[in-house]
Amino acid sequence: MSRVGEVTLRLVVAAALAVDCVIHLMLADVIQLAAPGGVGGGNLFRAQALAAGLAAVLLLATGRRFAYVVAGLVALSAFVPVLLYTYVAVPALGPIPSMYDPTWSDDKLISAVCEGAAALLAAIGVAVTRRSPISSRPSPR
Amino acid sequence: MTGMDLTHARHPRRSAVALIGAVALLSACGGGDGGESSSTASTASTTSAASPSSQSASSSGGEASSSSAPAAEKVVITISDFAFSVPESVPAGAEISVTNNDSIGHTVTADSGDAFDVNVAPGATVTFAAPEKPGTYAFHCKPHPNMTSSLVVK
Repeated sequence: MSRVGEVTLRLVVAAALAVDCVIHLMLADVIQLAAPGGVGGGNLFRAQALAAGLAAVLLLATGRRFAYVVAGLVALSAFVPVLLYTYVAVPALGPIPSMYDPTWSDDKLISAVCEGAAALLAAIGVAVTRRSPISSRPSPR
Repeated sequence: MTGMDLTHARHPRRSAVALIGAVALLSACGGGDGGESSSTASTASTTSAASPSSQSASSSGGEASSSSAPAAEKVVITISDFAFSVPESVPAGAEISVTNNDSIGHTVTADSGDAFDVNVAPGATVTFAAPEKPGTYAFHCKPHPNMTSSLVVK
Protein backbone atom coordinates (compact mmCIF):
# COMPACT_ATOMS: atom_id res chain seq x y z
CA MET A 1 0.00 0.00 0.00
CA SER A 2 1.21 3.45 -0.81
CA ARG A 3 2.13 5.91 1.87
CA VAL A 4 -0.94 7.98 1.09
CA GLY A 5 -3.13 4.91 1.28
CA GLU A 6 -1.74 3.92 4.64
CA VAL A 7 -2.17 7.40 6.06
CA THR A 8 -5.74 7.46 4.82
CA LEU A 9 -6.39 4.09 6.40
CA ARG A 10 -4.85 5.29 9.62
CA LEU A 11 -6.99 8.40 9.68
CA VAL A 12 -10.18 6.45 9.04
CA VAL A 13 -9.46 3.93 11.78
CA ALA A 14 -8.55 6.69 14.21
CA ALA A 15 -11.71 8.61 13.31
CA ALA A 16 -13.85 5.54 13.89
CA LEU A 17 -12.23 5.04 17.27
CA ALA A 18 -12.75 8.70 18.07
CA VAL A 19 -16.46 8.38 17.34
CA ASP A 20 -16.56 5.30 19.53
CA CYS A 21 -14.82 7.24 22.27
CA VAL A 22 -17.18 10.21 22.12
CA ILE A 23 -20.36 8.13 22.03
CA HIS A 24 -19.26 6.03 24.98
CA LEU A 25 -18.53 9.17 26.95
CA MET A 26 -21.89 10.64 25.99
CA LEU A 27 -23.76 7.51 27.05
CA ALA A 28 -21.82 6.76 30.21
CA ASP A 29 -24.11 8.64 32.57
CA VAL A 30 -27.34 7.15 31.32
CA ILE A 31 -25.89 3.66 31.11
CA GLN A 32 -24.97 4.00 34.76
CA LEU A 33 -28.71 4.34 35.41
CA ALA A 34 -29.41 1.16 33.49
CA ALA A 35 -26.50 -0.82 34.86
CA PRO A 36 -25.73 0.45 38.34
CA GLY A 37 -24.48 -2.88 39.69
CA GLY A 38 -20.92 -4.10 40.03
CA VAL A 39 -18.39 -1.63 38.75
CA GLY A 40 -21.20 0.16 36.95
CA GLY A 41 -21.99 0.33 33.29
CA GLY A 42 -21.03 3.98 33.22
CA ASN A 43 -17.52 3.22 34.40
CA LEU A 44 -17.17 0.48 31.81
CA PHE A 45 -18.21 2.92 29.12
CA ARG A 46 -15.68 5.47 30.36
CA ALA A 47 -12.98 2.79 30.31
CA GLN A 48 -13.92 1.91 26.76
CA ALA A 49 -13.83 5.56 25.78
CA LEU A 50 -10.39 5.94 27.32
CA ALA A 51 -9.08 2.83 25.56
CA ALA A 52 -10.50 3.98 22.23
CA GLY A 53 -9.04 7.44 22.62
CA LEU A 54 -5.61 6.14 23.53
CA ALA A 55 -5.65 3.63 20.70
CA ALA A 56 -6.58 6.36 18.22
CA VAL A 57 -3.78 8.61 19.42
CA LEU A 58 -1.28 5.78 19.35
CA LEU A 59 -2.26 4.89 15.82
CA LEU A 60 -2.13 8.47 14.61
CA ALA A 61 1.25 9.02 16.22
CA THR A 62 2.99 5.89 15.01
CA GLY A 63 1.09 4.17 12.22
CA ARG A 64 2.91 1.05 13.17
CA ARG A 65 1.59 -2.48 13.02
CA PHE A 66 1.52 -2.60 16.80
CA ALA A 67 -0.81 0.39 16.84
CA TYR A 68 -3.13 -1.26 14.34
CA VAL A 69 -3.20 -4.36 16.55
CA VAL A 70 -4.15 -2.26 19.57
CA ALA A 71 -6.77 -0.38 17.56
CA GLY A 72 -8.29 -3.60 16.33
CA LEU A 73 -8.42 -5.14 19.79
CA VAL A 74 -10.01 -2.06 21.30
CA ALA A 75 -12.57 -1.88 18.51
CA LEU A 76 -13.40 -5.55 18.93
CA SER A 77 -13.66 -5.16 22.68
CA ALA A 78 -16.59 -2.83 22.06
CA PHE A 79 -18.05 -4.39 18.93
CA VAL A 80 -18.38 -7.92 20.31
CA PRO A 81 -20.07 -6.87 23.57
CA VAL A 82 -22.52 -4.54 21.87
CA LEU A 83 -23.72 -7.38 19.69
CA LEU A 84 -23.63 -9.86 22.55
CA TYR A 85 -25.61 -7.69 24.94
CA THR A 86 -28.12 -6.85 22.23
CA TYR A 87 -29.00 -10.40 21.30
CA VAL A 88 -28.18 -12.36 24.47
CA ALA A 89 -29.43 -11.59 27.97
CA VAL A 90 -26.06 -12.08 29.57
CA PRO A 91 -26.37 -12.06 33.37
CA ALA A 92 -24.04 -10.15 35.65
CA LEU A 93 -20.56 -11.65 35.56
CA GLY A 94 -18.70 -10.82 38.74
CA PRO A 95 -18.17 -7.07 38.81
CA ILE A 96 -19.54 -6.65 35.31
CA PRO A 97 -23.25 -5.88 35.46
CA SER A 98 -25.77 -7.33 33.10
CA MET A 99 -26.15 -4.86 30.27
CA TYR A 100 -28.74 -6.55 28.12
CA ASP A 101 -30.35 -4.06 25.78
CA PRO A 102 -32.24 -5.45 22.80
CA THR A 103 -33.00 -1.99 21.41
CA TRP A 104 -30.99 -0.02 18.89
CA SER A 105 -30.73 3.68 19.47
CA ASP A 106 -29.09 5.94 16.90
CA ASP A 107 -26.02 6.43 19.07
CA LYS A 108 -25.68 2.73 19.67
CA LEU A 109 -25.99 1.96 15.98
CA ILE A 110 -23.44 4.58 14.96
CA SER A 111 -21.05 3.38 17.63
CA ALA A 112 -21.41 -0.25 16.60
CA VAL A 113 -20.85 0.54 12.93
CA CYS A 114 -17.72 2.52 13.77
CA GLU A 115 -16.42 -0.24 16.01
CA GLY A 116 -16.97 -2.89 13.35
CA ALA A 117 -15.41 -0.74 10.68
CA ALA A 118 -12.45 0.11 12.88
CA ALA A 119 -11.85 -3.55 13.65
CA LEU A 120 -12.01 -4.53 9.99
CA LEU A 121 -9.84 -1.69 8.77
CA ALA A 122 -7.36 -2.18 11.56
CA ALA A 123 -6.99 -5.80 10.46
CA ILE A 124 -6.21 -4.52 6.98
CA GLY A 125 -3.72 -2.14 8.52
CA VAL A 126 -2.04 -5.01 10.33
CA ALA A 127 -1.74 -6.96 7.12
CA VAL A 128 -0.46 -4.00 5.15
CA THR A 129 2.12 -2.92 7.64
CA ARG A 130 3.38 -6.45 8.04
CA ARG A 131 4.17 -6.68 4.39
CA SER A 132 5.54 -3.24 3.93
CA PRO A 133 6.31 -1.25 7.03
CA ILE A 134 4.92 2.15 6.50
CA SER A 135 7.51 4.51 7.71
CA SER A 136 10.65 4.73 5.77
CA ARG A 137 12.53 2.74 8.29
CA PRO A 138 16.19 2.39 7.47
CA SER A 139 17.33 -1.13 7.09
CA PRO A 140 19.38 -2.35 10.02
CA ARG A 141 22.13 -3.16 7.61
CA MET B 1 13.50 4.49 15.44
CA THR B 2 15.41 1.82 13.65
CA GLY B 3 14.33 -1.63 12.82
CA MET B 4 16.66 -2.95 15.50
CA ASP B 5 14.97 -0.76 18.07
CA LEU B 6 11.61 -2.06 17.02
CA THR B 7 12.72 -5.60 17.56
CA HIS B 8 13.92 -4.86 21.05
CA ALA B 9 10.74 -3.03 21.92
CA ARG B 10 8.51 -5.87 20.84
CA HIS B 11 7.91 -7.51 24.20
CA PRO B 12 6.92 -4.35 26.06
CA ARG B 13 4.50 -3.71 23.28
CA ARG B 14 2.91 -7.07 23.73
CA SER B 15 2.46 -6.30 27.38
CA ALA B 16 0.88 -3.01 26.50
CA VAL B 17 -1.44 -4.71 24.05
CA ALA B 18 -2.50 -7.21 26.68
CA LEU B 19 -3.09 -4.46 29.22
CA ILE B 20 -5.13 -2.25 26.94
CA GLY B 21 -6.99 -5.26 25.65
CA ALA B 22 -7.85 -6.37 29.16
CA VAL B 23 -9.15 -2.94 30.08
CA ALA B 24 -11.08 -2.66 26.88
CA LEU B 25 -12.63 -6.10 27.19
CA LEU B 26 -14.24 -4.96 30.37
CA SER B 27 -16.01 -2.32 28.46
CA ALA B 28 -19.29 -3.15 26.94
CA CYS B 29 -22.36 -1.60 25.51
CA GLY B 30 -25.86 -2.10 26.63
CA GLY B 31 -28.29 -1.74 29.47
CA GLY B 32 -27.64 -2.70 33.01
CA ASP B 33 -28.29 -4.65 36.11
CA GLY B 34 -27.66 -4.07 39.70
CA GLY B 35 -28.98 -2.83 42.91
CA GLU B 36 -28.82 0.82 43.73
CA SER B 37 -30.54 3.59 41.96
CA SER B 38 -29.56 7.18 41.84
CA SER B 39 -32.81 8.93 41.45
CA THR B 40 -32.76 12.35 39.95
CA ALA B 41 -36.42 12.92 40.36
CA SER B 42 -37.50 15.68 42.56
CA THR B 43 -40.40 13.85 44.09
CA ALA B 44 -39.51 10.24 43.58
CA SER B 45 -39.25 7.80 46.41
CA THR B 46 -37.91 4.33 45.96
CA THR B 47 -39.08 1.23 47.70
CA SER B 48 -37.43 -2.11 47.59
CA ALA B 49 -38.54 -4.65 45.08
CA ALA B 50 -42.19 -5.13 45.58
CA SER B 51 -44.41 -7.61 43.95
CA PRO B 52 -45.88 -5.98 40.91
CA SER B 53 -49.36 -4.94 41.68
CA SER B 54 -50.70 -6.83 38.72
CA GLN B 55 -51.47 -3.83 36.64
CA SER B 56 -54.29 -2.75 38.85
CA ALA B 57 -53.67 0.64 37.53
CA SER B 58 -56.57 2.44 38.98
CA SER B 59 -57.41 4.83 36.28
CA SER B 60 -59.24 7.96 36.89
CA GLY B 61 -62.54 6.15 36.86
CA GLY B 62 -64.64 8.85 35.44
CA GLU B 63 -64.49 12.53 34.91
CA ALA B 64 -61.71 13.98 36.89
CA SER B 65 -63.07 16.89 38.77
CA SER B 66 -59.70 17.30 40.16
CA SER B 67 -60.08 20.54 41.97
CA SER B 68 -62.32 19.34 44.77
CA ALA B 69 -60.54 16.44 46.41
CA PRO B 70 -56.83 15.87 46.42
CA ALA B 71 -55.99 13.13 44.05
CA ALA B 72 -55.06 10.26 46.27
CA GLU B 73 -55.70 7.57 43.74
CA LYS B 74 -52.78 5.34 43.08
CA VAL B 75 -52.00 4.33 39.57
CA VAL B 76 -49.36 1.96 38.31
CA ILE B 77 -46.97 2.06 35.40
CA THR B 78 -45.33 -1.28 34.76
CA ILE B 79 -42.10 -1.81 32.86
CA SER B 80 -41.61 -5.26 31.38
CA ASP B 81 -39.52 -6.44 28.46
CA PHE B 82 -38.41 -2.92 27.60
CA ALA B 83 -41.96 -1.59 27.28
CA PHE B 84 -44.14 0.64 29.38
CA SER B 85 -47.62 -0.40 30.41
CA VAL B 86 -49.48 2.79 31.19
CA PRO B 87 -53.08 3.37 32.28
CA GLU B 88 -55.27 5.18 29.83
CA SER B 89 -55.33 8.26 31.98
CA VAL B 90 -54.44 9.40 35.45
CA PRO B 91 -55.87 12.11 37.67
CA ALA B 92 -53.87 15.27 38.03
CA GLY B 93 -51.53 15.03 40.96
CA ALA B 94 -52.15 11.32 41.45
CA GLU B 95 -49.48 9.22 43.01
CA ILE B 96 -48.05 7.04 40.29
CA SER B 97 -46.22 3.86 41.15
CA VAL B 98 -43.68 2.61 38.64
CA THR B 99 -42.63 -1.02 38.88
CA ASN B 100 -39.69 -2.25 36.89
CA ASN B 101 -39.90 -5.97 36.17
CA ASP B 102 -36.80 -5.97 33.98
CA SER B 103 -33.37 -6.96 35.14
CA ILE B 104 -31.87 -3.63 34.16
CA GLY B 105 -32.65 -0.10 35.18
CA HIS B 106 -35.00 2.26 33.39
CA THR B 107 -36.23 5.79 33.74
CA VAL B 108 -39.59 7.46 33.25
CA THR B 109 -38.60 10.83 31.86
CA ALA B 110 -40.86 13.46 30.37
CA ASP B 111 -39.80 14.38 26.86
CA SER B 112 -40.01 18.06 27.52
CA GLY B 113 -39.85 20.18 30.60
CA ASP B 114 -39.31 18.75 34.03
CA ALA B 115 -42.76 17.33 34.60
CA PHE B 116 -41.28 14.09 35.90
CA ASP B 117 -38.05 12.16 35.74
CA VAL B 118 -37.62 9.08 37.88
CA ASN B 119 -35.09 6.29 37.84
CA VAL B 120 -36.32 2.78 38.50
CA ALA B 121 -33.68 0.27 39.45
CA PRO B 122 -34.04 -3.36 38.39
CA GLY B 123 -36.94 -4.95 40.25
CA ALA B 124 -37.70 -1.77 42.17
CA THR B 125 -40.81 0.29 42.57
CA VAL B 126 -40.73 4.07 42.56
CA THR B 127 -43.51 6.56 43.09
CA PHE B 128 -43.92 10.06 41.81
CA ALA B 129 -46.67 12.61 41.55
CA ALA B 130 -48.46 13.11 38.28
CA PRO B 131 -48.36 16.65 36.91
CA GLU B 132 -51.06 18.96 38.19
CA LYS B 133 -51.72 20.37 34.76
CA PRO B 134 -53.95 18.20 32.57
CA GLY B 135 -52.55 17.18 29.24
CA THR B 136 -50.67 14.47 27.43
CA TYR B 137 -47.09 14.02 28.55
CA ALA B 138 -44.89 12.02 26.23
CA PHE B 139 -42.09 10.28 28.05
CA HIS B 140 -39.19 7.93 27.41
CA CYS B 141 -36.47 5.94 29.10
CA LYS B 142 -33.14 7.75 29.08
CA PRO B 143 -30.86 4.71 28.68
CA HIS B 144 -33.23 3.22 26.10
CA PRO B 145 -34.64 6.08 24.00
CA ASN B 146 -36.70 3.72 21.89
CA MET B 147 -38.83 2.99 24.94
CA THR B 148 -41.54 5.62 24.68
CA SER B 149 -45.08 6.14 25.85
CA SER B 150 -47.30 8.93 27.05
CA LEU B 151 -49.13 9.80 30.21
CA VAL B 152 -52.57 11.35 29.88
CA VAL B 153 -53.37 13.56 32.84
CA LYS B 154 -57.01 14.56 33.30
